[in-house]
Amino acid sequence: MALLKKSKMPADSGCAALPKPKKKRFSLDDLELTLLSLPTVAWFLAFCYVPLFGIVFAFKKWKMKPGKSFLYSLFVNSKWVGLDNFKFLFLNPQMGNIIRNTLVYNIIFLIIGVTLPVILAIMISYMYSSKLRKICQTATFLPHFLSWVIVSYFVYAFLSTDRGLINSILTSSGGEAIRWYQSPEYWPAILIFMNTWKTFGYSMVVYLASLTGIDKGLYESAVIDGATIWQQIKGITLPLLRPVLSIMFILNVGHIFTSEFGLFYHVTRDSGSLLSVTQTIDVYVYKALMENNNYGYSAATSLLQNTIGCILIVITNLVVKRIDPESGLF
Amino acid sequence: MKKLVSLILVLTMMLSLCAVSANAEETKTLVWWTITGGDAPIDAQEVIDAANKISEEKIGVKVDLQFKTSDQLTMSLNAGEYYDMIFTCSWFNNYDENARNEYYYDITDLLADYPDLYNAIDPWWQGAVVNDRIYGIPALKDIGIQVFFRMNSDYFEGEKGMTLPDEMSFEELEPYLAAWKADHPNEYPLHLTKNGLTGFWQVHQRVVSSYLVIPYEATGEAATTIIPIWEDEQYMNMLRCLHKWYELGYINPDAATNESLPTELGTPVRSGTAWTGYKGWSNPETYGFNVKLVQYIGPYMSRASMQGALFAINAGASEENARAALKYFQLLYTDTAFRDILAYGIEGEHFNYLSNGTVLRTELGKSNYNFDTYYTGPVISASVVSASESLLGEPDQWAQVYENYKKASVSAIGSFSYDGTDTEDVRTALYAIYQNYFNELVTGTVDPDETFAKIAEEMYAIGLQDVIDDAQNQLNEYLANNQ
Repeated sequence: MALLKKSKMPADSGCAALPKPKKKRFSLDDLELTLLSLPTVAWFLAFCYVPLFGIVFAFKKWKMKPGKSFLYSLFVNSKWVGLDNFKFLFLNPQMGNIIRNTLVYNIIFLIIGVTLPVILAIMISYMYSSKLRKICQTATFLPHFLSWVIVSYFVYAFLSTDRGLINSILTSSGGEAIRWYQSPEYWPAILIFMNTWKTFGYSMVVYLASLTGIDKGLYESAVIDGATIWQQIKGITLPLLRPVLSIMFILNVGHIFTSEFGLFYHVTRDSGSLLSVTQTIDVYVYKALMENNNYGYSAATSLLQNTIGCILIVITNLVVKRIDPESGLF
Repeated sequence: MKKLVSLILVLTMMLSLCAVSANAEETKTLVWWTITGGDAPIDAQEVIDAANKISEEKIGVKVDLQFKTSDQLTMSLNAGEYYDMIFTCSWFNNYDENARNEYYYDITDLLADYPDLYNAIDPWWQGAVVNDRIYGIPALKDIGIQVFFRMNSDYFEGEKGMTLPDEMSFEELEPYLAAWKADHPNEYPLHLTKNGLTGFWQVHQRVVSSYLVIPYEATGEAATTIIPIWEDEQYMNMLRCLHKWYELGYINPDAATNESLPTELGTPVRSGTAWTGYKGWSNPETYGFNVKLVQYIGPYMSRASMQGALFAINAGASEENARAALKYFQLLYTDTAFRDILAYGIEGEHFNYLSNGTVLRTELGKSNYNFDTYYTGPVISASVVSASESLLGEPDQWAQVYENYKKASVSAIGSFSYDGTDTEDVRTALYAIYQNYFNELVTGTVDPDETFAKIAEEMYAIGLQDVIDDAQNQLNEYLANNQ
């Protein structure tokens, strides 16, 4: 129905709209577009904007009032406590170490997450056999679908002290078994490896998609001009990938103060000996709040993390736009 | 469009009106939240319907019993969802804290109208007293602390000719572990999970979180002095033993990160909290060998141990509903046949009575309606369970157990409970620090003396002393008022 009506429309509205441009009416086109956007708008409203009032949790001491609604409990029954909810974060003597871990890991993940997938995407796009290319793509993409909890069991199968694969290999070849979960020196490498293994396939697909969008004619004319493959990558591929690259980069900067909880908590099996190199803000908050379910404290923490993330996104975006005005996110 | 919307609205209103009017009949239906380890039992609805038929006839009360995991239950409670009765205790959904916050109905004055209920629990109401008022109904079960080694008697007594006494100290376990290790060099006689031996910390009572304690064995002034856990010598000696055993290879090397201890492992020594005469771990068909219980801690009694299970009523519920709930609990306490339904299921389907009056679960009962008895009410008013036709339970088991409690050393701090409102931020940070080392300490992975030196330094640095002082002051005040 809608399509039929639409096909008639240009003739009517085209003539009618031209003489009186000021009187904008809600046309059938607008209605269709509105309807199309409705699910998305509703989704964002319901799950992203409406719950935003929960931010007040960060400044309240939550106290439920039996027999009253949730909103009454939150706004009337719970006392305002100012910034008290943020205090516990800074009481911990290891906080410096925790922030360092969070930042350093995220910066490393950021660098690897932007460079490695691009390099591999370009390499894969030059693969001759299309079958092999598909296989590679699928194989690298697969870990993305595994939850960190499952991954933690795989890792455990490799690293378990008495039954792990690696220690079996070590001892059967005459070496000493290593107590992996008590040896912090190995874990930065293990964590970086695991994170890269799990995430690079996904970003690679994003880059591969934009690679296929590049006009093949550019390469053809480059080949005619005698350009080598390296020159083609430098002169055509990378410049055309730049907008996608910078958007991915800016988006990832926003997560610099939040860490992948599954990676740092489950994969390390929450081992106490490793905490000096594995404890991040999210892990600390989880452990601190396990005992008494303090909603105010957890809201305060995530508010802090997200505010810093948001500010960083804005700054990075400004910097990126200063360097290249067309590559900004907004 | 508008017409359609208003039509829908009218319809919903009519439907909800119908629901309300259905409720307004004479029978009361109470919403009852209890806990579950995982999913609700498969046959739960069938059993609840059967129980409702009886309770409706007898007292005009029905229940809508809902099984919730600990996370779901605390979340629903805090979000203010409606319930009439709720499971609460000292070890989760904290009774003292919620009662102090007045989340629960003050039933002190109502109790006079339910003398049978009052008398069934008397003299154990003190576990439910907060600020001189009663906010919950204790579901009486084992209320003292006795911790046992669950030992493979086929091996230790039969094969090795060793004797297993009724009681032993923690250190005395070592020769048994050594004997097993000598025969099975690639196995671990003390296979542990990251939480260590079940219940083995109960040589002291926890006053603040799990790190400020009072040892049960303390006497004189020490019996009312709150100390950090590392000053409890008895506990420290147990940790030192564990560390030694870890180094000797008696404990699995990855214990600090191990999450499960399957029965199939056939671990010869396990630990558990139970009571004298408990048969739940003794069935050789389940464990592959005969088990003898050897007590190594207890019997002790404290506020926390008396708060193993309570049921409270929503402070937002009407008095009518509160009375219905009390009536319902009175029935659970006084009518064994009724109590057995919620505890074990439907007779002939989920369980059968044996000749001595004890209960034997059927295969269907074991798989479809099987959980700890206290989930659905008091344990002492339910029939005793037998492990099998030949391994009979004692029908008057609870009388014996409660007789035994007369011998228990009772904590000197009575029903004191710490109100930690003023120190919450410090305690949160302290807990995170203690938690960092906990798994490696209780599994013997690290040297307790070295590790606690580190913990103490970190904890004192952020204000542990303030928390100790705050708690000690409150305790002194309580003791002064209750002499």
